[in-house]
Amino acid sequence: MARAAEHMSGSRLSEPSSVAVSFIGVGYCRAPAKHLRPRGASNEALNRLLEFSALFRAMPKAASDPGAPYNKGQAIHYLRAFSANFPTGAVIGVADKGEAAGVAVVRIAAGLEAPTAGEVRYNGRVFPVDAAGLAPFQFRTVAENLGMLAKALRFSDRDISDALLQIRSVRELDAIADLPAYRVPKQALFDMALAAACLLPADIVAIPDMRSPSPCLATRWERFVQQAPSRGICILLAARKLSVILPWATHLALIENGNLLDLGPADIAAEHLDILGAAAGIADRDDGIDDDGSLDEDPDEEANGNRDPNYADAASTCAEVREPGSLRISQSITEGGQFRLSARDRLDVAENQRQPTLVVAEHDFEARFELDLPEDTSSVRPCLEILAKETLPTILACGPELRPPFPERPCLTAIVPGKLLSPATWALRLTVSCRRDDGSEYLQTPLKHAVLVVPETSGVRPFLPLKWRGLVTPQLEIREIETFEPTGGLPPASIRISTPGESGPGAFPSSQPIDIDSVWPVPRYPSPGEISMDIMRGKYILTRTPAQHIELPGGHVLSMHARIPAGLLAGGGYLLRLVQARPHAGPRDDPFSLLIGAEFRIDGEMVVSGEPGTAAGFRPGAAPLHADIEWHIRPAGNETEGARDEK
Amino acid sequence: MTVAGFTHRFTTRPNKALSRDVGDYVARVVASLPQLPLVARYLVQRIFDRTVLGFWWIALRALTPVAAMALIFMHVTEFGTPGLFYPVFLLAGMTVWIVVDIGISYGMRSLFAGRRLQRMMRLPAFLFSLASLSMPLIHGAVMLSVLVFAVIVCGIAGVDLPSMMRWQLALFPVLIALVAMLVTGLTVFVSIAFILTRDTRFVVPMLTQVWFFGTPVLYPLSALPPGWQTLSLYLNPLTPIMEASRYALFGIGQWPAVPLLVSAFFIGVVFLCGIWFMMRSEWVLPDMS
Repeated sequence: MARAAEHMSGSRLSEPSSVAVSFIGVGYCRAPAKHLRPRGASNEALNRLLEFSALFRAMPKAASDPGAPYNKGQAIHYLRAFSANFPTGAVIGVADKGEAAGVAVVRIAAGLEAPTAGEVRYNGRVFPVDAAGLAPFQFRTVAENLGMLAKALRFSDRDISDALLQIRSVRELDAIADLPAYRVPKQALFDMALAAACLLPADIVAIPDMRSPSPCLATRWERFVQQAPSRGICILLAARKLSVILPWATHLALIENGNLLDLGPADIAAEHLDILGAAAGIADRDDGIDDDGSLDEDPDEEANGNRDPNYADAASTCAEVREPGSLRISQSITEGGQFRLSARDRLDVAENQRQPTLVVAEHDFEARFELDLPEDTSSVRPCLEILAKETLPTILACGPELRPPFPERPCLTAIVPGKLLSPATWALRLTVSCRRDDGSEYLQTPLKHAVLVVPETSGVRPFLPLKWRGLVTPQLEIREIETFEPTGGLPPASIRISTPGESGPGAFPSSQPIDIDSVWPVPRYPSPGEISMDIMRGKYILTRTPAQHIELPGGHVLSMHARIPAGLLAGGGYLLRLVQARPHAGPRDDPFSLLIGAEFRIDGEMVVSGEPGTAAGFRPGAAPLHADIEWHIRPAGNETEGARDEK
Repeated sequence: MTVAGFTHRFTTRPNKALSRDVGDYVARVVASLPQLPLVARYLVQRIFDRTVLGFWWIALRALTPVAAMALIFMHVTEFGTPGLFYPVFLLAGMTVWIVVDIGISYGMRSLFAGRRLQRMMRLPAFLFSLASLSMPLIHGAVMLSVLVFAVIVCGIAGVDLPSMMRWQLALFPVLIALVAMLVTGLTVFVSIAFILTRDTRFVVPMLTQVWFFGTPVLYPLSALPPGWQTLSLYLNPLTPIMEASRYALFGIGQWPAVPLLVSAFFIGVVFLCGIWFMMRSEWVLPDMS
């Protein structure tokens, strides 16, 4: 912190001598996203009125007091008494470790947002490069819009005409300069704004949503950035992708918990970043999903077809690699500065669902991933990406966090803190790579897509933007889940857990499952009568399904395999609540008839072995996930599988 | 903390809610006043974008109802005004009323229409309410021109009219300024309500119409029973302004000094409440969009 203070005072910034933008005790907070606020009335318009009324009343206290409630929720304090002096002649990347304050700082510096407290001082003229706000006149040409913007920013007519003349010298930009703004895609608008920033005599250029410039502009932009120190121009950059701003930034301003963590030359300030995780995240993001899945909520632009196509790409890419029911997230909400485990939530993914990466949340959260690992692992590196609007990816290398809940079985528990901001729909992607003792890596593909649903304790309602409808089945179920404790009453023999193989959604793993020999000691059930396997105490969520008879010949052993998600039983097994086995007379009064629920659908593998004379029948319940069950009937004492049926 | 050489700044007091400091907000609005022509131009241009007649709609919109009303009500004897030709009487009233009518109807959409501009430049929302006055003032100017033209035509045609060239004419801009303040204050509330719920676009014209008939625009105040006259003078802030404007223009009637003071006080309260309400709402509105 002393170093941060030193930077703030500017003494360490010997190269750039003066200050371009000065933030003095700036605070910035916002309400939670509207879909996370309690719904006061069923009528949407009336609800908005009530919401406005509540926010109107609660705002003053929430703005001044970080702990004050704001419409029955916590206000999100992006900045808390943030003070920094951004020097002239520097290209400053503003980044936040896992949150979105970086974008907020640059937007405030650009004059696009008003802080709720504090003071911002400028030494010169600011030019904001914001593609979304470049064209207020949708039916006028881009050049007219740009001219008006420059005039509003108090540039002289001569400067504006000179800049427009030079912009028109670029063939690609000249082609769009005379188009109505609504017909121009966002990237082209961004290029126009960037070109104007390069050409107009601005002292401060603030780019809150930096993108890669188009090839026609790349050289000019590169030259502008290189000349910025000599010309005394301060360029402030923020982006959702850290990789976009890092190549340009000569300085980095790092923010943590709403305060300045460090501000200095990029290479030194980057020490605060988790380089290992960042490198993994950046490398993966570059060829992976584009994060520009932001939902443009402007209906006009949507109607005009001015929609960013990257979003669809992100959705389809997500759909390709997802596997439903295989990852679970528990979520913690920050309340009063303390983390509180609230509930474990999940999204039931239907078979035909294309977009599983639905996240509806806007607050601090702690994603807890529990993954079974196929083998002993020397290091595990999970990487969580938040594909979202106005936030940098949260990257966490959590090898030290490896905490097997059961000593017999290697299992990873990754705890990833993060913050989701702004009224957008969020997607998480978790990638995991594991390393053996010999250094070889395995399991390095994007493993799972995470689904995060707000807990019921926050009193929010699932919200799906219009664009998502049809892509997402809104089966958000929020359940109160208790901690798993195997309390006896389990079926005889053993339950074995294995990771699912590479398989499609809901399919039975085609490859051989890797048994990890994690056997829970379970008592024999007390009598040949009715048995029950009450794995989880709590709500009974299984549904009984039509039964099916098969015959179990005398002297044979029954084993039953049911697929359960890999991480499911590791920390709680919340799907399987009750499995019953009871004596049942077969068609020919055979005491060894077997009764099996025909729709017993659970991912993963559960092996239940019964012995003749004890296991007369099973009636498993069905969990709301799609999976299959297989059973094995073999002669008693024979270790190899005999007849095998698979349903 | 002061930093030398800074050209401009944006300030809110540390650790103090934005909403509570009216002075800071007014200072912000004043500092943003150079942008007022830009915002006004933006709002006006948005209205006439994609129209065939463009700015000619101002004249049509202003004159058509006046012409219709003049043609009909000049034959209603109860509406007759001694010493003033009825169409001129009506034009004088409509010159004031149209500022209210157009001001509220376009001001209601000012925040919504200016959202793109807000995205580009973070301006105080109150500036949009001020800028939305451009349309009613243009309409008022058109109507005043028509009034002057009508007076000249009547003079040529030999219709007996009081002279407009009197010292009281200097009071007319003051009255228009009062009306503009009233409209600005009301615009704040209806524009925020319009963002929150589209019921506003049904409610506001309905109430405006009721207000129109409650204000002596079509008829002289003397056409009302004495009790109603008093009620109208003290409860309707526009009534004294309407009477005073006719007195300022043509010297007919009396200068309603006390009701005008009450009206000015009411308008001042509405204007200040509008500033306060907009100031507090401005913090909340981004969360509502």
